[in-house]
Amino acid sequence: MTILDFLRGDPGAGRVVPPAGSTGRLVGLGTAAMAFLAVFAIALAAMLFRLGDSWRTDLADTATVRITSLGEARDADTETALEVLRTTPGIASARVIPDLEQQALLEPWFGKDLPLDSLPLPRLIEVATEGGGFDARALDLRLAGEVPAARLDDHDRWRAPLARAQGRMTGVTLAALALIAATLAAVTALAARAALSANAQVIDVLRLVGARDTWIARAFVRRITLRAFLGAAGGSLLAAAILATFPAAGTAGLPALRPGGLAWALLVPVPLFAALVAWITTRRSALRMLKGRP
Amino acid sequence: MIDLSQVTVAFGGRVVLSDVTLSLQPGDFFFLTGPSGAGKTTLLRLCAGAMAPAKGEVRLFGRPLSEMTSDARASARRRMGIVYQDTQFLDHLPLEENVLLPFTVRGRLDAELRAQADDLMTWVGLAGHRAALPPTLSGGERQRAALARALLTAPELVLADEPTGNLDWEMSLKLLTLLIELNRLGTPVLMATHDLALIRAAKPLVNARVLRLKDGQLTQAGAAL
Ligand SMILES: Nc1ncnc2c1ncn2[C@@H]1O[C@H](COP(=O)(O)OP(=O)(O)OP(=O)(O)O)[C@@H](O)[C@H]1O
Ligand SMILES: [Mg+2]
Repeated sequence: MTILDFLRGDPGAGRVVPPAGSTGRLVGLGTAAMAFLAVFAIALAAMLFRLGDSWRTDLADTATVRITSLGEARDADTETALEVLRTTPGIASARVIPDLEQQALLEPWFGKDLPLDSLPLPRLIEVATEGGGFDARALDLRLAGEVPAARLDDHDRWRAPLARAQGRMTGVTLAALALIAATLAAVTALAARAALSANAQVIDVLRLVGARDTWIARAFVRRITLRAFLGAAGGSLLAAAILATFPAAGTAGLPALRPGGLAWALLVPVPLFAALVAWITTRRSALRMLKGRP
Repeated sequence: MIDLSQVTVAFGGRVVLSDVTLSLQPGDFFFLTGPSGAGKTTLLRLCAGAMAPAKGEVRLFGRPLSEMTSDARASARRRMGIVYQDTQFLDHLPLEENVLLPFTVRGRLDAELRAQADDLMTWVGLAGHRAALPPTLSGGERQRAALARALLTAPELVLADEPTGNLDWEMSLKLLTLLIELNRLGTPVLMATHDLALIRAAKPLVNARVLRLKDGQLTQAGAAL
């Protein structure tokens, strides 16, 4: 039995199995729920992917040097640090972030009327890299020698745990998807077995008139697979409709959960995949069960 | 075409068939008699490949049943016309579709076959019941439909389990005559029946042998019949 035969269907085979009762409804409901969850898991995975992407592009080519000394020493230290940076290979430019800009950076956290002068704020030097970047350890050592009050912050330090967290979250999401698929497989396998046990007499009659086991299995499998497909289509449409009501822009530094553009296309295979899982598992358990019944 | 050699069947320790040997060859006409519970149905199911014996060998069309795959068993069954005693219909399908079921499962159902089925159903007096669901029919009506279905496939042999059990005398004779006609063309028939009158009626028409099943033993009944 190929997929093509299966889709073409066999009007006779479709009719020999009595109308599915509660089993059919449960398969529909179960796959709808699984598809609903799967769609959210996929949306979450897509969001995490974009999150990692934005961190990489935003942070990849920059680093910051902090000057922590105060008063007159600060200006001198800034000059020396700039000099060191200019002579470091792999650094394209270094620029002192003006107070005004620094105030803008801090405004979201401390409010508008921040008295910058009275605060022991470090001065920040923004470093743009070029080529393959610079050797952070060597620069760290050089700064420590020449400007003890300067600290290199190459972003890797706090980017690494974020990236690790993102990787773990992605892993958890993928595991959730795998669990959803496994649950779906279990539900449909159970449904196939229930349908076959409930229709023992149908199987006997079909065998009496010379039906092959594959033909009998197909009659049941087709029914359950179609149910699974319709259930999953309903579940994913509902989930997609809910996602569509979410804001398109993200908040609090997180990208939006609502998929954009191509990510919507990722949801299309959900019902197809559900149908495929249903087809494989019901066919396997149906054939195995028929084999156990002489 | 069907050979049972020294076949033993037991259900839960109770031996139903013991060392039974039987060979069904082209042209044979066997009546299978015996008290209720003697194992007639069991013997027919063995012949249909629907169950396996505990001991002994069953051969269908020359092939040992024990070596046949489920597909091979299905193929063998397609060459037989089988009428069971009960539960042989899909209760949710109209009678006509049940009669055409052997062709549905073969995937070749055409207008010509439908016409043939129509004729045969009319002949056995079921013209008005084509659209009826099996559970709404009488036992005799179902038996006639089962025989019509078995014969529609032009089987190479016929296994019939009490096909006239619920029929009036006239209809019984009619179906018996049909089976005898088929047998004259060479089709072997194995028919389980309680109806001694029917066996006597067949005597002048066909060279039938009467097999008697009792206490697990299969014997050929004497001239007393
Ligand atoms: N699947 C089964 N499981 C257990 N016992 C069975 C099974 N099939 C048949 N039997 C037993 O085997 C014996 C023979 O049954 P069978 O149906 O072959 O008798 P029969 O000769 O056809 O009887 P009848 O004339 O009433 O139809 C009976 O005692 C029956 O209870
Ligand atoms: Mg019986």
